[in-house]
Amino acid sequence: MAKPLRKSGLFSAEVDEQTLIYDATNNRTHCLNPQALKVWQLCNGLHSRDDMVLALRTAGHDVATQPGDAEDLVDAALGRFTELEMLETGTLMTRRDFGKAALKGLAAGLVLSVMMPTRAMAASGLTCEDYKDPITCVGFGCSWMDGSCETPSTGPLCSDLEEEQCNAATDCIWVGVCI
Amino acid sequence: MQASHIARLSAFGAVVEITSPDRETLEQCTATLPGYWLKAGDRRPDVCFNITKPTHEQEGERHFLFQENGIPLEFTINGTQAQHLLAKRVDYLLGAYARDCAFLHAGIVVHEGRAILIPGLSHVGKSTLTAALVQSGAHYVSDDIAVIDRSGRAYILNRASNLREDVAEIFDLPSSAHTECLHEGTLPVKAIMLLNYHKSQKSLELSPLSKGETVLRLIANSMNGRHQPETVIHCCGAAVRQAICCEGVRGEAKTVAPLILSHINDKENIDGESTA
Repeated sequence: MAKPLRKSGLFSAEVDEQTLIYDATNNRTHCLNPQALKVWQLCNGLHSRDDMVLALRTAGHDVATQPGDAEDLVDAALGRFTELEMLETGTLMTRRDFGKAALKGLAAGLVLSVMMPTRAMAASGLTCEDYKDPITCVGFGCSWMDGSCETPSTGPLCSDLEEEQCNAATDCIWVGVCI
Repeated sequence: MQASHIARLSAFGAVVEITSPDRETLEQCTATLPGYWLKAGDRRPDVCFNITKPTHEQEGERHFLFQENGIPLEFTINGTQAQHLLAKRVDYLLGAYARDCAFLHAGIVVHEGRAILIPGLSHVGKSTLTAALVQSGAHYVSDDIAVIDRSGRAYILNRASNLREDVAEIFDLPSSAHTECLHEGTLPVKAIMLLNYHKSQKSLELSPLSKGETVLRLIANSMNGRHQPETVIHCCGAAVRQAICCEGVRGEAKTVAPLILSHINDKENIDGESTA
């Protein structure tokens, strides 16, 4: 793997100890926890994966107090950055690089991610079943149950309504279909 | 070519242009829009609506064609339908084209001078919970849209209540009245409650949510996130900083509304004491 480099043109903002990063190329917003942020800051094209592990250990970060911790953290974070296309092409981790850390279940909690919805999506153009990760699922008001996203049983979506019902519903509008 | 009358209106940075064949129709249509739509001057419109010349009359009633950006949305509708459709479309598109603020799918009430947000999409129970909170002592602002400015404060919009009639009836609230107790302006956000309804849930189960994750959840419910991503992130980030952020599962709205208000108060007291 080449030395990881952050994709250019990302917008970032801090909220408490977490960092939000918006990627306009795929309309996703990511939320990095403080551990992921430490790895992210080292993704400047100057550090290899081993350099990062060493840097975390040398700096004595609380995230890397055990011998294997820094290694797992770096692998998990880089894997997640790769999965979410946050790194420049050519510096991406292979699935094999990422596998070990991912299996330990570290990656998902480091970086949460959600797609910036279109107006139509926000107005329920998609169904709950279309969302494949718990954050997006719950964020859209659906229920995450046993690894899949389900529609809450409180009523129909706009897209379920016929013209008359659609026009009567305050949140829906009929444009040939109900949205 | 027929003469046209044009109104260009702006709200929250979004600009719409409405073209009508006669002044009377134009005035009737624009009069139905909420008061925050103001004259826009020469700014370039985001969306153009065209209510074209009546094609025919049926028993003295005029009919129109209704186009949005040149695309026909409805053919041969009467004047009232045109007004209704315009109001709906303008409201719908305002969320997408608004600038310098975040438009969110959220119920919003005011309690003790600060706003409580209930984010969620259509038909997930926002209206019901909003109505139940109002019945428990909060003031109604909206059960569908919350607007947050760059300092994280929620706009108190003087919009007519849109409560569904069935919901309003259950809670004995007016379904289409303007909010009377609140002045237009902005208020800080006191709490953001991301709640899922489950039939089997008897009461309320809450757990704290990190500020960053709360922003993600708000973003997932944003209407103008695609058009104004950085602004929406900024506004939501500012809103969560001072707010109590929770997620959870709730039972029936009537049961949980008082519990929500008391949880927020308790949390606020605890936070206040620890700050002091």
